[in-house]
Amino acid sequence: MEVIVLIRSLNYLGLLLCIISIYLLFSKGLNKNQFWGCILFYLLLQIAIEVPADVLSRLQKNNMPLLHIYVLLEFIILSTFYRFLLSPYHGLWLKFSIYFILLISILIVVNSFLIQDFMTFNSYAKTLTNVLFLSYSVLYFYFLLQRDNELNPYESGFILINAAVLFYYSASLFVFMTGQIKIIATSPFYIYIWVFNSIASITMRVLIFIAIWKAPQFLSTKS
Amino acid sequence: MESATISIDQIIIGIIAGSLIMVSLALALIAYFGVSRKRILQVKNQQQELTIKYQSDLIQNNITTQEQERQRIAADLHDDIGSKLNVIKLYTHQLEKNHLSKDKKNQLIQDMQHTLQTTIETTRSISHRLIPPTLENFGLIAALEELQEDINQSNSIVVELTQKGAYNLTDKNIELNLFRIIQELIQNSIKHGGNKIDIKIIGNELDLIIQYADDGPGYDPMNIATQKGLGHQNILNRTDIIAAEFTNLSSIGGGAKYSIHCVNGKL
Repeated sequence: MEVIVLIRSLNYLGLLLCIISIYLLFSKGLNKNQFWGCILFYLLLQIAIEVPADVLSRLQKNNMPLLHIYVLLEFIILSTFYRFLLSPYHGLWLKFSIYFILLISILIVVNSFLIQDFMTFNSYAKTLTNVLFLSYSVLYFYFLLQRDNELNPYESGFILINAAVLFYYSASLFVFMTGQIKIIATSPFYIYIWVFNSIASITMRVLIFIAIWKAPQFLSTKS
Repeated sequence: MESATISIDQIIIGIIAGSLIMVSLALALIAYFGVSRKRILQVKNQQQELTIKYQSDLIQNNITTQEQERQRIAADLHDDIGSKLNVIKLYTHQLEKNHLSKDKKNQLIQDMQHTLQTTIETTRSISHRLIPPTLENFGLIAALEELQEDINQSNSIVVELTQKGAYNLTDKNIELNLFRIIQELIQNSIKHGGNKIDIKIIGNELDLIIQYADDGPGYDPMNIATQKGLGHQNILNRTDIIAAEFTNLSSIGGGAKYSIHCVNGKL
């Protein structure tokens, strides 16, 4: 099997996991919850970007503009998720995180327009957002360790999602950080970096799927 | 060209190695979180178990104390009052007999009056031990002075009582519990060979502090065996009831020393 076929197969498997996870989210009514709603948007974003990216790749067209859009939306969605998740532990976070998200979003857009244009790999923005996701994740674990009470069933799911975020964005940090170094793309081994990234991505989606699968049915308090 | 290719491959290996290190760190962090979280919950469960055990011990001690008190009252009633009433009953049976001379009858009436008088005194004594009337009528200091006088008369130990400042205890229940605590402490001092007890009552509008010290051999307050004694548990139980703060300042060779801090009039 060619390596590119392996990567595509892994990506399709990842997309399938996203679709099943979205179905599970709706069937459990979790889409009505603000936390799980963010996860729903995150999974929808993966499908919305990966499908056209795959089509463009097959047509031998540059799919980098999609990565620029993906990085911005991914940052907004995951930051919103962590905004809700971290706010109970630090009241100021809820107040000021909106400005923080806005500031980083502006930086990402500025990077796309002025530094790394839409047709190139936006490694700076991707690296920055990866580091921020890792920080959110570590911060959430830190806050949880300050607590000595039992977790509710939804929080167990968020811990799994947080572990998935920590795992995937740790694995992909160097991959995206070095993404703009064109010379390494000439090596026949370069493709294995993306195999590694695809395996990490599949692992993250499996963990998200398990988190949704194990989450109890969401019963909205609103009538 | 070949050396350049090797260099690029090395970069790729570096990227993968770096990524693997990051993944390892992430997994280590996740594992650390899991283990720490489990440990935190274990410690919390242990603390809860200890609290439950402590409360259970307190209840058990309460029940034991109550039972001991009941047994003591029952023994007092049976041995002192009961036996005296039986004697009076015997006197009345003898008085029913017609053949008794007048002198004999007078003697019997005198004996009966004497026995009745001692029965009244015994009843008063038992009642006094249950709730000291001085405490009820004149407050803690007067009751302690009476206790001091009784103990000093027995020549077993010398009690010195000093009062600094006025206090304002509005709740009789607090006074009764403080009195019982001091009684318990004095019993302990006598039991453990002290010769002199110094009790200081320091009061103001807000607080009442009782400082208690004896010149006995003392003990290590951290010794678990001393904490488990029924008397000690009773003291802690009573201080809990009146929301007072009990501090044990005893040391080996330094005598038994305690401080009881009570907020005036507040339960």
